[in-house]
Amino acid sequence: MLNSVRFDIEIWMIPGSVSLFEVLQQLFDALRALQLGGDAIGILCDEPLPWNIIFGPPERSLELWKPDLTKTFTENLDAFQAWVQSVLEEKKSLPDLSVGLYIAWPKPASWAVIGCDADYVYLSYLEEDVLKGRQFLWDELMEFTKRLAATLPTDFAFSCVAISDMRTEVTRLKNIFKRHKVIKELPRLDALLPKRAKRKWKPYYFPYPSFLILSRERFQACQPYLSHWPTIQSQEELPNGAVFLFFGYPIQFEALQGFEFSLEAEEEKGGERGMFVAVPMYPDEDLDEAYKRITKAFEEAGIEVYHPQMLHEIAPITDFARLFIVFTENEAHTFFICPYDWTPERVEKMLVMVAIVKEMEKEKVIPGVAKHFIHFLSAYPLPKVLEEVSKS
Amino acid sequence: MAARGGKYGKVLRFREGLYLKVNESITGKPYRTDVDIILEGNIFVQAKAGPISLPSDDKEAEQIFQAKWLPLIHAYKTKGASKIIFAFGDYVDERLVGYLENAAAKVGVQVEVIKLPYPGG
Repeated sequence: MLNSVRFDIEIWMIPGSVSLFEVLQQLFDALRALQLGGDAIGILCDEPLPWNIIFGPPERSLELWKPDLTKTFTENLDAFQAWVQSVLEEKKSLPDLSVGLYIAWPKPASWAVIGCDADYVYLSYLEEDVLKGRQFLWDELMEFTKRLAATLPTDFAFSCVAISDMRTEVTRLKNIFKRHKVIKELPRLDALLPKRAKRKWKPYYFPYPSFLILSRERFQACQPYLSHWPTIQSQEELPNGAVFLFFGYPIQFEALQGFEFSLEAEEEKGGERGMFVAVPMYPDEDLDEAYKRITKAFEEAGIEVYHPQMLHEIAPITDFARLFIVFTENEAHTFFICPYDWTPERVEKMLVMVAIVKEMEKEKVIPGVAKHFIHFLSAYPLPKVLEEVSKS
Repeated sequence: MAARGGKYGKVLRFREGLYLKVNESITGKPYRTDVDIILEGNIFVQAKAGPISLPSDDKEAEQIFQAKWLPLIHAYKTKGASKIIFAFGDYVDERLVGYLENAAAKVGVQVEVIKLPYPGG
């Protein structure tokens, strides 16, 4: 499933001050200046994502254009710009529209959306890209935003965290804030920005901007309130008079070290890098609490967890262990959680459970699953007989 | 639990989320939400339990469509999908349905949207 949590950067222009063609020209020139090769074209499933024009209401339609991977990014950009102009010229009237393309820059982003209409330009990055790209990616994006904002009649620009749908994603988002130590002391944007940008941030946007660009006029209007703002780490005047303010990175990147380490540990154990998450085990923790905590950690890492209620009920291990299953393409991974010490009786019961799982594999109880793997999440040293089961 | 029958099987809603019990699933696995299910004939099913709201501002709604849903359709297409079934177990914004149908047509793949009755809907 595609990641729904995104880091967005938005540049808003003074309304009516510029045409879509002028915005397009400035945006594309800024992209050309990067002198990117063919590997900067956004890719998904080994195919280039189609660049597009989206027509707003009442038409609500879209036109797609396919980039050519044998050409450089700049060559594609030239061809795309010509295509956009030809499509728009064909239309007798110009409905409200936006133009978008997918860009694999800065690395390691495999694709991000960059789009614009007559009022604003936005860049949208997946959470994973920002985590992997760390400070370097964010610095590149800030510099790009500064350069672009300086060539446009920018009213204000900012970064924010966005989610696609609220009720299913908001918990995950809050946990991301917690897990990656997103800087919460950053100012909420609604305390800083003009009325017209205040409206509907909730629930889709969590506007704790790591940087903000204000037109000279807006910045001057903000002067009386500056004492209420958090510390401005750096301030810079852009060539068009706008002011760039940096409050801090959106994530404490150094806090990601442990996250990466757990992935490395999985790899060393022979697992696929990033396949599962490493979770701590606490001796004698309440069984249900441990189950909730661990399955939650998996789900927060984007791993779908299947809770086999029926299997749980028939299992002879309910007094000391819990289980859950993770399905990959054609494999099933059963995880047994046990926070308690291993008595001979518990080992015996667990071996019965292991036999049930092995039988499921043999009888192909779950169609499409060719191989069952067993993992123990044990707070106490695993008895050798179970260790061997886990290895096999 | 709510269920809706159909040519391809039943969409079941449990407390834990939305499941699809399909007649001809290649894998036949029990599925939770947000997973791809592939039926014979390269029909892809995307099940989503929670509500799908979009910002009331059309511009922002289009941005979310462009950032999330359009790449999804493209990915299904490149995986060889002949048809995509979106099964929504809760409220879904009508604008999204329109964009999905439009985008699928442009990419050259059929799309079907199944909307389950939901509490308060």
